[in-house]
Amino acid sequence: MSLTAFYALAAFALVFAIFAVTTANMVRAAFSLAITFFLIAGLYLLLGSPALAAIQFMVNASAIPIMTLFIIMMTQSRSSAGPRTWQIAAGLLAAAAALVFFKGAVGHGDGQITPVSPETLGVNLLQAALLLFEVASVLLLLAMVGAIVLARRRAG
Amino acid sequence: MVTLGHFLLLSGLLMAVGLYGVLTRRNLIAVLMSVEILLNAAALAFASVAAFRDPHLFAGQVFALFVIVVAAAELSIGFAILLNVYRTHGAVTDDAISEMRG
Amino acid sequence: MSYVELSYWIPLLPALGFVLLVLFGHSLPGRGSGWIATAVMAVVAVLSLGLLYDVILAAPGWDLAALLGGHHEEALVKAGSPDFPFRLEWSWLAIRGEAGIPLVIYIDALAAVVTAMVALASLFIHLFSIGYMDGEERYPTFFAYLQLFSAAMLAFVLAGNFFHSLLSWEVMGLMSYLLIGFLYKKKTAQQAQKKAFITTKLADLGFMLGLFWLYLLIGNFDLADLASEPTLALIGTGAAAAVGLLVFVAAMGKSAQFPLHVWLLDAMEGPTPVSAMIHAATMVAAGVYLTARFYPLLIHGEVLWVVALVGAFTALFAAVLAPAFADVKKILAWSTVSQLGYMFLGLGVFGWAAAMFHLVAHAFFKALLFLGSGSMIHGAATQDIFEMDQLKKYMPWTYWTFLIGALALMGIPPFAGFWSKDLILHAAEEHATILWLMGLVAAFFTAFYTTRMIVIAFHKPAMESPWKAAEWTRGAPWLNLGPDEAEPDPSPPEGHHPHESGVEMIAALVALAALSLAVGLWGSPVFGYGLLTLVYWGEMPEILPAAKLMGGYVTGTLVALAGAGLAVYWYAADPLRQRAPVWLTAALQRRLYIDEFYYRVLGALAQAPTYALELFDRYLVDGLVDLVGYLSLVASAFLRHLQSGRFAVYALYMLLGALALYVGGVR
Repeated sequence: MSLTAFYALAAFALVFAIFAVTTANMVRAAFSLAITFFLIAGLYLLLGSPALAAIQFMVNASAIPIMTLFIIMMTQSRSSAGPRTWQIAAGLLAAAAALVFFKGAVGHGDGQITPVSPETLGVNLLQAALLLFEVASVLLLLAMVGAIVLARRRAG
Repeated sequence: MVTLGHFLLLSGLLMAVGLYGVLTRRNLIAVLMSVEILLNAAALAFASVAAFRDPHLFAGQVFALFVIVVAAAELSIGFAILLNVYRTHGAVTDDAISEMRG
Repeated sequence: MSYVELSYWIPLLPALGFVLLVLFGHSLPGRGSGWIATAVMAVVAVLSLGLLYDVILAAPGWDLAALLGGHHEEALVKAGSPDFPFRLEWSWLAIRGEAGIPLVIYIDALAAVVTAMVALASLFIHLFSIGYMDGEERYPTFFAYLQLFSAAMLAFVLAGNFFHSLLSWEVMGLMSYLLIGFLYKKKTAQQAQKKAFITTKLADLGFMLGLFWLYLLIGNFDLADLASEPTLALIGTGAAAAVGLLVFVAAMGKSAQFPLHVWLLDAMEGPTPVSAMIHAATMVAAGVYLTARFYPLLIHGEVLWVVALVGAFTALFAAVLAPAFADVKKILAWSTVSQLGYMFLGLGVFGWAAAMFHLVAHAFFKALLFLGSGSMIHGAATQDIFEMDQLKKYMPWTYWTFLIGALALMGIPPFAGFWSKDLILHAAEEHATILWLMGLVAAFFTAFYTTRMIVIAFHKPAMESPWKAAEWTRGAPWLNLGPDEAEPDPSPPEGHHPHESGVEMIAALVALAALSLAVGLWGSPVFGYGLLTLVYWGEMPEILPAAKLMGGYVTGTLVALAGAGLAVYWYAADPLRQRAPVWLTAALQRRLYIDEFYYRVLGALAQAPTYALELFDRYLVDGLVDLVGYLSLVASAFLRHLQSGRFAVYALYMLLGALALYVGGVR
């Protein structure tokens, strides 16, 4: 795997992620989010999982940001206020804590990956992870119905 | 050579960013966006471990798939709720809905 | 079956009588309960006389001539039986093999004589009450109470274990309370019963403390053991003095000695047979009896002088106050206090036998006098001697029996009081002249107030009582009652003529008169000092020849006659003339304000801690509770701001919580 590719994808993913969480402009935040997820899809490709990359691209990198833009429009929140001072401190604290959690991650072994073909993943889903698959379908159905019910205009 | 450690470190950094966003953002939609970043970071971590360490079952990648599914479901409900909040309170900022307080 | 073996029936029968009357008394017709109770006491009297006879047979016999001549070596004529003093013992409170507290009946000469005295007095008082209490709604209850009281007194006298003495003592105190307040609807009776109970109960602390301390010293409550040399050696002089004085305090309370005399006068609120039984003949004598039983300890602790001093002072004090009263029962009550003082004086000057002789004699003639007064009250419908109309003319039997009792009280030979009182005075004279003088002056006053009482009540026509409407006795300040809370007793209606009492009452009076004469003579030289050779302290009786006592006899009689003579001189001619200044009369009738002092000052002192405690409760205890409430309000006022309702703050809380968990070890 190419180290350069990784660093490029990773660096830009981080940059756009940071932009997404700091900018006051909500629309720009949504787009940054989309780009971040797109880059993560690229990382999935690097990991040898095109199926996952495709799904990531289709859902997270397009559908979600579109939904986000819709809601931004419907709630008229084009811009967001800046964080309060203590919130910045809290956020930095949280970030530091997260990094401490991950300190054990550094320096793990070799670079051998096993690519997965979409076919293999599909077969797995419908055989070994069948129950999960079905439950996830139901979950999506519920979410869809629930969102429609919650979001519809009330009579009168 | 790219190792698992690289991927995990990236996942951790993305987590940090996501956490920073949850605590910092004033607009609730932005908070949900930060949550989304968190979820993606987690999925990335699962997927990378599966790729490097789990040649037979690659369970982590399946799991990453389901994380995406759940994240989508959760976001749609969340946005529906926020829509309601906007309709009743007129804004979706973090201090708009503070009636239940001491 | 000897009377000794049957002796436990003596206290037991009246106790059973009590139970019987409580359960079935009200179902009996008319005076049934009275006759049953009297029948029980008759059996008890027979048993106790039998017991006395057995004791006389078993006691050592003495040669009178040798005793009188002082030849002590030849005095013993017949050795006493080896079982004597008799002792019956049952195991009562025994824990795991230890002796614990056994139930002991101890019968020595003193116990036998006093038991017979109590039984006989109780019998005739029961007989008297059959007629006297007739018409009373709670007639059976009265006799039930008398029975239980008799049981307790007899148990007290026969007790060989001081623990049971204490128990009987307390039961007597309870019965005294119940009987004083028998006519409880009267406010004065209510106050009087409380006053009696509280005063004696306070004094009883002395008995308890002394007794338990004694137990710590010698390890048992046994009466006979206390008199033995080895046991006494275990107790130091100081401890003996302390224990002895503590017990003496209880005796002072029970026998109404100064300054604990205050309750006895108001105990006259009870029906007259009660006054006769409890507050003249028996219960008040229990204090003297107890002191007599603790004699070895008092000698060892060298505190007999306290007993003598208290007795002498009380005898004088009471005798001086008596002439200021018009109520016949109150005069007799002061007389009781005074005579009890004589007994303690006797004990205190090593005149143990003389004091015991006076105890027995006094029981009979005082009971006689009280029952006689009951007859007077019954016939004349008043308790005030001024309102009594020439009772000698209308109530001859009452008059002559009362006169016998009065002569005994005054100490005129050959009546009982003469023999016993002069023995006491002789012992006092040998010991301390001042005590002897006090006794002598008291004897003068005794004769004075007794004669006054007889002259005005029996010989003078009815007249208006001089002090009934006096303002200084409005209400009853000595009972803590205000002017509106107590009415003076009603006077007899116009044209009321006194009438002699019923046959049961007269029979009782005659019997008691005969007994008081007999007892007096039993201890006199006339019948060979019989009583004094039976009941004595130490190894052998100490009999003084009449020649030695003659000086005392003459002095005593002259003093008594002088007192009587003065009373006749003053009251026969002009009974209503006020010979004392008003302030003195008022002070004497208000008992020198001692009772009121107790109520006000001691009452306030006792209440002072309650005020402090109330403050403590209100500010400290309540304050603490309020503080807790206040603190929780403050805390909540502070803490509730944590729930701000703001999302960003809650997100921070979640972060902090997670961090805390991580730091705390949750991975």
